[in-house]
Amino acid sequence: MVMGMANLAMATGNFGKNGVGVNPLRGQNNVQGSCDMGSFPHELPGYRHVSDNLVRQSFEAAWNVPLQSEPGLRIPNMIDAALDGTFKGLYVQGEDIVQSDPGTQHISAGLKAMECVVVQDLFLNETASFAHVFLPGSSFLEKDGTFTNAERRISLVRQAIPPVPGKADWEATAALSEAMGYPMRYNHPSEIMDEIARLTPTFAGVTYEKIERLGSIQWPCNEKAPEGTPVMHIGGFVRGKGKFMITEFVPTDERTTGRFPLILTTGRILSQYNVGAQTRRTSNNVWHDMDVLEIHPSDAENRGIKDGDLVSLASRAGEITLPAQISERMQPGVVYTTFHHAMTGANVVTTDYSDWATNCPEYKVTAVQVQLARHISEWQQHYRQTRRMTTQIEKESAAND
Amino acid sequence: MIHMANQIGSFFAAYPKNEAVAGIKDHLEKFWEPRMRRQIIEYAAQGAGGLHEYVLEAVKQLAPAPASK
Repeated sequence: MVMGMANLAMATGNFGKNGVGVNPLRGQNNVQGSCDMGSFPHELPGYRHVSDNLVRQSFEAAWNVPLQSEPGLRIPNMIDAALDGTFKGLYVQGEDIVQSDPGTQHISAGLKAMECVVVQDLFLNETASFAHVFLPGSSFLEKDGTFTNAERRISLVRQAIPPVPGKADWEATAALSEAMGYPMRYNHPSEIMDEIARLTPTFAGVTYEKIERLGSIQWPCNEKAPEGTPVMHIGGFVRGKGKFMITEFVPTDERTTGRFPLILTTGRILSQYNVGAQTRRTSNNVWHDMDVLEIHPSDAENRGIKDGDLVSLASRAGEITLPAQISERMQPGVVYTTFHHAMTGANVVTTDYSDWATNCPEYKVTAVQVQLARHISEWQQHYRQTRRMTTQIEKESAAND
Repeated sequence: MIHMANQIGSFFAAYPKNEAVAGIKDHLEKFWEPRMRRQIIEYAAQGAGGLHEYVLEAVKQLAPAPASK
């Protein structure tokens, strides 16, 4: 899809000038920033592959440690490897993979199989239930840093109050590193940015002082473009002329069957943010206090389902129950729900299929059956029991604070 | 793993065979962690049942993946 859109933009001349290009609408505010900084398991900052000896050596020299030249595992591969017994530990910061990733039971089993799971988050989210160690996270109001949006624009995040847990996230990570024998001695996030600038050519001219002065900076920012680069690819690409790629459509192998005749697609709504770990604890619940299953009137009628009925939603992966909402906006044969509420467990139903290129989970196509239900699913009963215990811990912790 | 490998094969099947095999090999080397490469090399050596023809050719050309440290 991405290559196809790039092909289309090149064919129509929509590169290298104001107001054109291909931009993803990110699901989170700093996806771009984390990708820029080498969060992919195969890249170092600046989108440089770990097998590039010169690049790797520059980081090895700066950090005084050897770095692997091989790609690492992506999340679904980590879970598989954990179940194989070859992946032992995970440090999760600000992400709730148990609720957000497909195949909840698979993810849970993988986490259970690990020897050490460290979760650092604002709240005791679903993944925290599997943590051996929980570290308190700090919100954007409690730390300095930068966010980078999809137009490569780096902006400052300014601390408004001291971190409630006592340490900002980066300080907790540095302390953990030091405890494990590798001191990270930064006095302020601006010193981390200085290091990024020393090691990453596209960030060579970025400093906190410059971002403050200019308001924001779009990378590349270096000697050639000291105030950043609002428009890339003017007059051509780094490689010269653009390269058109053949983009064969690779359809999903997920198929509807007599047993699972409908397609489930999952998504998000405006008033809850992703897994809802933050927004479910606010009055936003007034607008969306539960996940519902939207279903076309004819599919509902065929199953004797009325608006508000409790229905079971089952796939080859698992089964949940939730209220039905009859909706003309659905196509016949397609049902839809959100994954904002942990109690719903929408990802109990989704499968572990993912795309071949990036392992992006296949949230939009799961073959399912929908039927009237009399009671909540087995998974939801089990969830209620275990969640009661973690909620108690959360309340006691809040009371002690 | 085989499912994902075959999807890679399906994508590259639109290319001339030599380019397709090279593209698949490049993808496996750049994005598959060594233990995943070891698993697919082993699978291919054991008969490669159900593996896309181009993927099998690419896997045969893969260098042995380094052992875990």
